[in-house]
Amino acid sequence: MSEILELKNVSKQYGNTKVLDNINFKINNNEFFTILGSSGSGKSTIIRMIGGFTKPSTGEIIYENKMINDEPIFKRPFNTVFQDYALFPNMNVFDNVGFGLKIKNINKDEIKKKVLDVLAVVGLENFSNRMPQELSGGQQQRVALARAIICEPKIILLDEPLGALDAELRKQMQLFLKEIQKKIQITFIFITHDQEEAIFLSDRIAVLNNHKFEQVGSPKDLYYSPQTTYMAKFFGECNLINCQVVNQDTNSIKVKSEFGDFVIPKNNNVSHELEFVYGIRPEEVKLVNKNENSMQVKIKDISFKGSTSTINVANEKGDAFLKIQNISSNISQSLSKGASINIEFNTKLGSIFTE
Amino acid sequence: MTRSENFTKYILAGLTGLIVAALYAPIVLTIFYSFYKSRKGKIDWSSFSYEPYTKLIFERQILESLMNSIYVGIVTVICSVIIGFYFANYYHTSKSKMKELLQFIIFLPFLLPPIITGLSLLIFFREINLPRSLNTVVIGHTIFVLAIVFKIILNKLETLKPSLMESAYDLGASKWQAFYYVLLPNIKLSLIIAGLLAFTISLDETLITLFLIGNDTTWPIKLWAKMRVGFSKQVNASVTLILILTSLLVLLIASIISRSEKKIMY
Amino acid sequence: MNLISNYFNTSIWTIVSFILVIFLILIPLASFLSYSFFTVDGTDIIREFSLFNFKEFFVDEIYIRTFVRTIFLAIIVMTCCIILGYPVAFFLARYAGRYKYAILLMLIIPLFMSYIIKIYMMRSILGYSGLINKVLAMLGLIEKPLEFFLWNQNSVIITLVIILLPLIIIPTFTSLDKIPKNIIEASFDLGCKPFQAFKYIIFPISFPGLVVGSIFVFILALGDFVTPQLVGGTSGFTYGKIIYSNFGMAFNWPFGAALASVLLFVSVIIILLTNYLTKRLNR
Repeated sequence: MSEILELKNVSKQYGNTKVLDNINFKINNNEFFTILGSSGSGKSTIIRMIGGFTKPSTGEIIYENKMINDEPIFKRPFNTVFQDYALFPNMNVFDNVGFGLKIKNINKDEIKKKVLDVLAVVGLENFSNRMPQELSGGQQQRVALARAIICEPKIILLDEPLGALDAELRKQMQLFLKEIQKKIQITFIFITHDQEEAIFLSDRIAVLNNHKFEQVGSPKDLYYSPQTTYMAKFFGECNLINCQVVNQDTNSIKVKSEFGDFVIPKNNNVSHELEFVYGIRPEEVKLVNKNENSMQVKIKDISFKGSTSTINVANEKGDAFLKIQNISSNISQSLSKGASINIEFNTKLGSIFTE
Repeated sequence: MTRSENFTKYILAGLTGLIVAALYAPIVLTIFYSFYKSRKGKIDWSSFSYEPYTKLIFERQILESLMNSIYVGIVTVICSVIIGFYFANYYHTSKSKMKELLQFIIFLPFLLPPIITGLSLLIFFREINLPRSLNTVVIGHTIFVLAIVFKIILNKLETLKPSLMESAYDLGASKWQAFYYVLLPNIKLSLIIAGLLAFTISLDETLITLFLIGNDTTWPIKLWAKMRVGFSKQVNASVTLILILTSLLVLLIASIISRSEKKIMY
Repeated sequence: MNLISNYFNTSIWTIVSFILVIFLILIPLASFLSYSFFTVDGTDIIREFSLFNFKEFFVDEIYIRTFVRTIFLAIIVMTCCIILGYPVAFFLARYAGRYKYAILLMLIIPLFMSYIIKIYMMRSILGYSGLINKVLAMLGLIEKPLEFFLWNQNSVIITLVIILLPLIIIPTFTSLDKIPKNIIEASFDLGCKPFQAFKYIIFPISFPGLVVGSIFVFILALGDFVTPQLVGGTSGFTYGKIIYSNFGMAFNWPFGAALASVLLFVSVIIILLTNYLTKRLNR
């Protein structure tokens, strides 16, 4: 896959407030790339810098090996789908979609043909005479997308385009976006604060926290190998356990924790720190019969979730807690509060955080 | 609604009715006197005639002053809308601290007593040796209505989302294309409202005009002059016609406003 | 960066716009203020700094007396407008229902209708054989026409109130109309009696609008020179009239300018004070 866009050491400051701090990433051609962050994290600023609406304070935006920091908006081969759609209220759907072509002085017949084609792609072929204010939110969204697609940009920038839609419509539009991106083969840079949406849509996700990127990777990477405790907690839940190394050999490390001792496989990434935080997903904690690797804990409470249950447990002393998920309700029914059980971690899927 | 509140309501309705009547009394009387004669305070009911209206065609002075007023009004509209739009746009987009000062200065002629605006322009024109004419009146009127025009256009600009213009640029529009195809159509109504209002105000402006008028006369100045000798029925007829014109203008403005408010801004 | 600014926001245009404002508003004001320090000799204006005009203003008590009298006149006009205008605005906002904008429009239209004509017609309404006297006579309330109404202070006040009343109704209505119904209902729910709801909720919210309207009325009444002249008779000698006559027959521009600069000074103080007060109230 070839690389189309790169942000190199990009920072943005307004006066004394830092909005973005040293952002680095590369985007591949035809990729669906999502920037995920809470509101105010600066995610919109990234897209606005790529689109040319604002300039980075420092750093470079590189498109096809060329620095484009100072390129004016209309020269960049990118188009934006705005959060509020920004359809022109004085033009009907046809004129809105055809605007980009009209500006380029393309002849009317060709505009008409292209607009109708694109409207067919987004499923609005019968709406060309409607005014934007007569359309539903989802339809406006499609017009905004059509208006961007028709210019045949190399990248489409989507600034939280689904933010204003209700849950049902949001699901539909997610499917629609994913399909259309496959169909038209254009790189999408998508912004959202919704994790599920990001996981569903994206080839890769960049998680923005505190004005910096925490981690960039495929949804699976982010879930199974989080690089920071923030990331571990960001996607789903994660038990974080303070550990001390007792001893280690070539293949494994034996550690001591508040819950007891356990052995984790050694892989090259692990540094030689003697203390670290071990992260394990609640569903990767297994109930087992007592054995040499198991740890004994006390059940604090059991919550029934249908076919499975979630159990909260405490160590013997009662000062450290764990969450266990995906326990078959058949099993959990036989357990009671206060009882002692033995657990084991699926250490293949645990993560080590040294920070 | 309680009984005492009902009582209050009727009292207030009565007062409102009386005030409407009081505000319209001078106007209704004028229209009345354009059709009927009165002698020594007694109305001659048999004297009804349209004649003053047809005779109006021969009143060259009145017609001329009317034409002057319309000329001044139109030029004032053009100047004030262009300058008002520029300032509103500047105020809306600039981050400079000067813009507050600019707004304050624009509002001065509107807030100060008209006599101050009138005589300061009079002195200024004398200092730069600009003879008084209809054009100096236009300058006075433009400065006077500028604040209103500025405010109307600014209010409209502030309702537009910034993304609207950004998306025009994003789709490849040059600044003039974005202005012509996107900004202008979206603020068109506010420009029309501002223009109509400026025209209506200019048509009746008297206090500033009195200082700035040269040898020509505008319509209110003609009335002022005629007043000393008493109004002829033709004057009353011209007043009636202008009153109808003004009411139509105000109604037009109101209907444009209410129609544009009904449009759902999405 | 805002993109709309790109149109003309080259510095040249900014400079042009500021020059325009400076030349058409500030320099005229400055030249009028500087005139107030000049004096006249016959028909020549002596361009030397002098406080002669101001000394005249303070020494000859007729000017100060007229000024104070005019301020009182303006205060009375303003008070009448408040007393008559506020209830009307209140009625429109609270009880007129779907007719409120129609009635408001009816109240606005006269504002744009010929100023001179209104004054002229007030003469025939207020005069000795005017409408009011006739109606009163018809009702048998008076035997002889009253002279109470014309060629005196009363006629000036009545005429100015008729002319300026819409100016107080519009902003007051606008601020009253903004009060959501549920706020008033909430106050009733919390045990307010109607008058308390008015005193603690409605009036404070509508106050800024009332102030804006009142200031407009006050300043326009203060500076008006046509109305007093046309309906005021001998008591039509208001401050504005004196200023105007110095630019007309008396032809003493510097002295007129000096008198006007006192008016300007008072107006600016009132505008700034109002601005400050309404900003504090809005906080």
